[in-house]
Amino acid sequence: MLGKLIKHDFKATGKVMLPLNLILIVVTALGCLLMASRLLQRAELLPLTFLLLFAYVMMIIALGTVTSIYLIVHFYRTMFTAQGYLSFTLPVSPWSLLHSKLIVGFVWTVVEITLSILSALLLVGAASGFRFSLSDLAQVFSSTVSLNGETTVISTSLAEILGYSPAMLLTLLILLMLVSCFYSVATGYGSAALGQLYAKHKVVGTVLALAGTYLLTQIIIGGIMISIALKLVVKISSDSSAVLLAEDMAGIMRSIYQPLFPAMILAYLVLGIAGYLAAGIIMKRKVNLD
Amino acid sequence: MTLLECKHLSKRYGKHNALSDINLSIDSGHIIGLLGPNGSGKTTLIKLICGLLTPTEGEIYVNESPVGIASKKAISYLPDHSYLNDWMRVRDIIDYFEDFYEDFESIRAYDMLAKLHINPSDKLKTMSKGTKEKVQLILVMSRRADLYILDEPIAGVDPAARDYILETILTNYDENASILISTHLISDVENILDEVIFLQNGVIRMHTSVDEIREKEQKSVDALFREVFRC
Repeated sequence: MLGKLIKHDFKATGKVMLPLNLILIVVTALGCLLMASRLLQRAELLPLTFLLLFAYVMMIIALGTVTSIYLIVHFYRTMFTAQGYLSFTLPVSPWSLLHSKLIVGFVWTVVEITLSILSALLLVGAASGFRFSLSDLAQVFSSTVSLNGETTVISTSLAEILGYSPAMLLTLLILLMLVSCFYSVATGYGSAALGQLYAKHKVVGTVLALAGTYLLTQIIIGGIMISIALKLVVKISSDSSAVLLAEDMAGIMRSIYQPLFPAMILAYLVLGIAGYLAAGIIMKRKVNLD
Repeated sequence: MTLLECKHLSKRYGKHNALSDINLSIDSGHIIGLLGPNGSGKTTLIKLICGLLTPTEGEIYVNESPVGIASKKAISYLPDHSYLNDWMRVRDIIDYFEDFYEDFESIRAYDMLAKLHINPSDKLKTMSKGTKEKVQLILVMSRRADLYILDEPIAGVDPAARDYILETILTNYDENASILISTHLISDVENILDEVIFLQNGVIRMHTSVDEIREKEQKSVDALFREVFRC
């Protein structure tokens, strides 16, 4: 039954999500053509270039926001409004309903983010005339990053700064993206389920629950950053040598970034699981359709 | 065989008792009228049986199973409003029902649609309220369910459509199945009912057979209803 639920939910959400993603693909294609034409490299067109770049960034942000909001609204409408009468009378468990919505929401979110990243990469590639190879990319991760300051020149590999090999860094970034997609969908659904517990003003309840979740996330992520920074301050202040050498900078950066990625992945995962459990338990035990 | 059983069922909204200590048993092969004035708790009781509300107290069993997957397989439910996606075509909805309900007979659904001259390729949003209600009834009655629960199936439609709806109900249900019809248009359904349940202020005032009302009270169900619920 889960497969059937997923099939029908893809059909329903595809009506909005496919055109949304198509917009991004079309804009990317047009952008690549514009970049390849070298038209925007003329000095007199610089303001227009900035304007287009700004519009592009806004569009990427708007598409991400619309995707998140649409998926929560779709979940809310199909579960807790008139359409919920059909959903909750299907011979399936509430957990199956939730799993189908989570899988569909997760897939659309991952597709949207992946397309956004590919779009940005393609535009950058088109602007450079695609004159780079995979070995160029590998170099970025190995030893060619230089921070040019007024007085100091530091030449340190990105791997040394972040404390991860290129493969590990890429794996962590992909994992962070996937976990944050799960977090976004699961906490959104959890908030919608919490909102319907209100006897009246269910939509207001959902918005308040969403705001609360956002605030909690910011507090937790902020807490992680502060604890990493504090640890670093303690480490530096306990060091007897007062002079901070340039090569120590890499170590300092490493002690920030090395724990940051795993901590963020864990935080998003825990919050996502909390949202998932809240939605599932409410749908199983506390459903009250008007 | 007992098809539906409610034991000490209560539903409260804050301090308001929508249903209080309902004890109810319905057997197979009956058409039961769930009758009561507005706000008496008819829809609340139906929604509890269908799993759309969580009871404050008490238990519900359908074919001896608590509300869950098994009970939802056994019940074919018609709500008192549209619950279908407006952008869907009738054909899509039939596919949907066919996918989820093993007892759904799409041939029967298409046959009923043809009789009513409803095009399966039409989208719901292009249909009138009455036509949408007919589509929903066709979907519900195209299942071979054990218990049909119809919430106000004839409210808001013209008398000719009422006749069609009642005829559809009577000609499409299995005789071993039961039908629970909630309505306040008693005179229209009286002739098809075997039993009635009078609900008032969230409690059952009366649960008896229609024959008993006619024999003992020497009244029609409609006349008795007016007497019991006189304002």
